[in-house]
Amino acid sequence: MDSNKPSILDPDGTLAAKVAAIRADFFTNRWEKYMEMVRWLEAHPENRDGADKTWVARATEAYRTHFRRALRVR
Amino acid sequence: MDRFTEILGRLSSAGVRFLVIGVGGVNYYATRKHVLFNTEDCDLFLPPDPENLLASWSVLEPLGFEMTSHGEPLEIPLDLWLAERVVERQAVVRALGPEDLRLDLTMTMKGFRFEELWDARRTFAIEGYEIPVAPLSRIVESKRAAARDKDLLFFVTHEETLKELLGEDDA
Repeated sequence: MDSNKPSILDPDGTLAAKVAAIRADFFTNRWEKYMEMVRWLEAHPENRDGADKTWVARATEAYRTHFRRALRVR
Repeated sequence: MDRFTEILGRLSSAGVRFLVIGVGGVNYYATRKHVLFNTEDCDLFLPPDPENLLASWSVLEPLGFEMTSHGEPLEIPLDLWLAERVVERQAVVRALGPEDLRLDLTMTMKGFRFEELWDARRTFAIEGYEIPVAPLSRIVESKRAAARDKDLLFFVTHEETLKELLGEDDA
């Protein structure tokens, strides 16, 4: 797990402890509910086999292009 | 047409067997109300089949991609002998293309075999191409097995997005 590595940004391990707490809570208490929602999305009518997802490709490309063109101004 | 779609479409049209996995795969399951995740690369899961791997290189190389593994360029020529060595080692091949395009070709996905996922794949139509994507539930289960901090950030964000989506659908 990356957050266990020593870091100059987290010398006393406060951040690592927070990440560990979120990780434990998510995988212990919230995982099953999350997977229920994932399975719901997988079975969503918009995700049937053969569905047209061109809009996803166009949207993600627009995002990448936007940030590729970003210039540092100072 | 975006470059990733063109490349995935060419791979698919050439008969290369692959599944889109990772955040790119998750994005394809977005509905119209859904937040999309930004990703600069595209992860592809391939079977441990040297001929299939070679076929992928044969599509990518003419498009200007350079194949690398562990930060080093793969030896030329990109032939069946080399593909067999890569499959033996189950090495991840990173294809670096024009405009900083990056595809990671992997033959391992934590917790799953290729054939199992291939049989359960979802094929989406994108710009007229048929793009095979791993089942969403398997992508996230694999991310859990990897257990990286960046995956935890993904999970928490995705959970929040799904809650909002379900709330809207229930309304």
